[in-house]
Amino acid sequence: MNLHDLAALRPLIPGCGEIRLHKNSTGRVDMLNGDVTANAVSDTMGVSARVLRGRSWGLASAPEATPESVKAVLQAASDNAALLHGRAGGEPLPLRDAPAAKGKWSHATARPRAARKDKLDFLAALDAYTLKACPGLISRRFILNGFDQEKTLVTGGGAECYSFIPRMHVYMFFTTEKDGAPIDLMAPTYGGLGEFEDFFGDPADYYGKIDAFYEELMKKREGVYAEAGLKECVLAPDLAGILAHEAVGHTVEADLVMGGSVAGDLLNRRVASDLVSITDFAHTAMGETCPVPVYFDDEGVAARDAALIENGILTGYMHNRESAARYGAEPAGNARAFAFGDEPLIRMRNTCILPGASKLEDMIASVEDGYFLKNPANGQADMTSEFMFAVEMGYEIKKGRLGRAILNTTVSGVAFEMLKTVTAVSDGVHWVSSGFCGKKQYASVGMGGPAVQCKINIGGR
Amino acid sequence: MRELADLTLDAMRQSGAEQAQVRMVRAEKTEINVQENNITLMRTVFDASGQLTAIAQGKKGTLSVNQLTPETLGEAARTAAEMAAVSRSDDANAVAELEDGPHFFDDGPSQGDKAKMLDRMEEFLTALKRDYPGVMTEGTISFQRAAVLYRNTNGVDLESRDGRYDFNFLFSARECETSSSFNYTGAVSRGLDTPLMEQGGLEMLIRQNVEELQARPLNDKFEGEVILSPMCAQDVLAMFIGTFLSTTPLVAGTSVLKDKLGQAVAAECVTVASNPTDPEACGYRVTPDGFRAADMTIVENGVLRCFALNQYGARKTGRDRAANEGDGAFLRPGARPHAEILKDIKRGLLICRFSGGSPSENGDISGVAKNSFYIEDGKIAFPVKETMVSGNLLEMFKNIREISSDTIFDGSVRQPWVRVSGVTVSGAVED
Repeated sequence: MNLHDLAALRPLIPGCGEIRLHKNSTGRVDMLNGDVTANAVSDTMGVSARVLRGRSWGLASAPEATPESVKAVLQAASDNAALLHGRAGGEPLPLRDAPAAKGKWSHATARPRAARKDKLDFLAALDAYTLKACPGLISRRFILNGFDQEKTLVTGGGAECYSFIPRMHVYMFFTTEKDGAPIDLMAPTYGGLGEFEDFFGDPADYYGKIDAFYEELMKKREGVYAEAGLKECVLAPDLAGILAHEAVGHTVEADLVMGGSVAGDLLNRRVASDLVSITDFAHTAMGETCPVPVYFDDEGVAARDAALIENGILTGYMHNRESAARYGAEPAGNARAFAFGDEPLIRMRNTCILPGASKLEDMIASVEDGYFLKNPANGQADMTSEFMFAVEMGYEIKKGRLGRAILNTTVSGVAFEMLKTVTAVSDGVHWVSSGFCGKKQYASVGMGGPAVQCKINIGGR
Repeated sequence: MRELADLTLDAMRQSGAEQAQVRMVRAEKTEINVQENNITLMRTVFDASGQLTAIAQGKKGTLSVNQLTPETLGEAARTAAEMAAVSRSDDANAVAELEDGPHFFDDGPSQGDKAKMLDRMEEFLTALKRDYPGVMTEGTISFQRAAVLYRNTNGVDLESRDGRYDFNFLFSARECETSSSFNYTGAVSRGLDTPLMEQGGLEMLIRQNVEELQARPLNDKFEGEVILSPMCAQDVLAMFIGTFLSTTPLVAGTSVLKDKLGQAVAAECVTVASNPTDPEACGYRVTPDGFRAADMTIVENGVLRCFALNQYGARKTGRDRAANEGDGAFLRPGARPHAEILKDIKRGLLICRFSGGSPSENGDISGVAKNSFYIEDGKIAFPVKETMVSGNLLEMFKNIREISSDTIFDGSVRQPWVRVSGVTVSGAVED
């Protein structure tokens, strides 16, 4: 089925419901110490329908992508909605009208297709180079991971749209040892929006990155534990995105606001230094395509940017049509579903701290005693706006100069207090899009930002 | 599914696979969703999957599809064999071996009771609004029935049918402009005989969550004792197994316990088991790589008895394949309830949720003590916020001082409270 076929079934959609044809494809090669431990691809596809009866939603889905299957899931979704409505009753749920999306968007590669063997050979070349150039490793691991999402959506409100959004990354993990104990590091990820062919033609392009990564690991091998407590830190651009995502983004998702997030009391109030502005970009930021472009959401809303913090003032939340109606806001296309059988939830897209005017080297030079935090790992948010994220690579700053490397640590803070301590924001933006955000379902998201100077609680010894 | 599986195995063989395996699933899930203490959505998901593994000359390819038609599976079989053909040879690649024993399992109800699911959910929400009016929750209750079939060229033919209910709630208390840190829990069950509020420690955690509205920073830094709640202990145990005893760190050679089989790796009071076939629990019957699952003791009185290696890991390292992969591990309970243990602690924390980074390969961990309480002179003093903890998993397991006799059962495992010494606790203290 295609968009034309699905659109022909629109008359069957009751009210403001949706029907969605949805396919997630993954491809993975995992090479551990030269052995291929995963050589796998996966396709998961199907159709789903969501309908509203009173205040109750019904959803159903099935893997078969046929007109008969669409009719069957529409009926099952209607039955589910009717069952809930029959017990709960209630006035119709107000939903905010929004411009319905129409169009097709694809980021499929325009280059000649690579064969499966090319992907295996690419990782084998990285592994062979590492074996030769990086002595003293007890483990080297390379993962090539692709995730493509293809959606065709038709809504009762008039949306008719299609998108194909691929992403491809290579991940590198090295482990060395010191005094019999392993010291490990994950490299910054390479890749982004696109397919294998868009990024990974010549493995030699990555040898210099392997050299730099190995050099950092060797510094970490001589690293020390950070000193626990509240410290003045410079967060590298790689970390700023996860700060925007965990510290602010989750806290201002309207469903979490309705669920008790402290951001519910802070709209139009100061929550950060006036150096801080944060936007959840839909598909284009500062003139360039975002790493996870979203042109429409799964309620059929044409996507646009959502300003969250402007010059330190909390100016908005992220919405679906229901929360937008409640808060008198315009939905911006944040209602996203991960798999074909999932319901749309309020999710981030490309959440970014906007760049400032400072220079990273000046920011480091201004710190008397603190840390430069470089590579992030996982993170988590909270209703209280207290966030955490793990840091895999960083350095002491002593009298304005980088000192010893530090071992793995975790930083935390209360976002709407910590962001008031920001004293500098660098120029330029770096995006990261290699992970998944988890909130009942997964979501592919982009996280971006410049370097940020602030006070933050650091875990250590 | 059996005919489709055989057709797929034949197609892989004809495409050059010397060994082949199919894991085929058909599942139906019904889920009721709650937002802001109200039921908002019911969804029904019909799904299927076919995971194909082809091996030729030690080279392996794996492909998954969810369209279980002869045409789709035939094409997938050819592609899986082609993927294997261009991979790298590894003698450790193999499909599951044929074993004696039962090959068909049927656990739990064959159909979910939607009306009773709604009744239990409404009962919970009514109790929540009545007894904890400041608490807001979101979550789900679901029923899933899945049929899973494993067939391979060694003659393995294992079929598992499983029906289970599952609920999860995330909740947070709110008062004036203050919110508590969210916490969450859930449980699985074969039936709906018990109110949700009485399962998985749910009411205890909600009650604590209301108390956490009074949380305050711990303006101090010290090395002390902590008590890990059952949910926190489960997370820490999973990190211990994942970091030191599972396939990837052992194959990579990075596990610091790789040569410690038969040696002490934890305090003597520590026994860890993983029992997926416990008849009282909702476990599983077949391992992901296609063997019949069995129970195992991983650590006994502090001594490492086995690793959690899958078939590939066992063949690669020359060690024994584990009876299961160590998921759902639990600690054997001790002699005293946790309330008694707490009285012995001079200064420390009761940690009910750990929000931290993944452990380093050497076992270092650090993170935020969420939903946690400061302990002073044997009593809970106050709930804390902005408090971090750090330590090393290996040291922590050696420093386990006591394990409680009381446990929380989430339908899968019974997990006790755990007392650990030597953990660094630090508030947001500026030097």
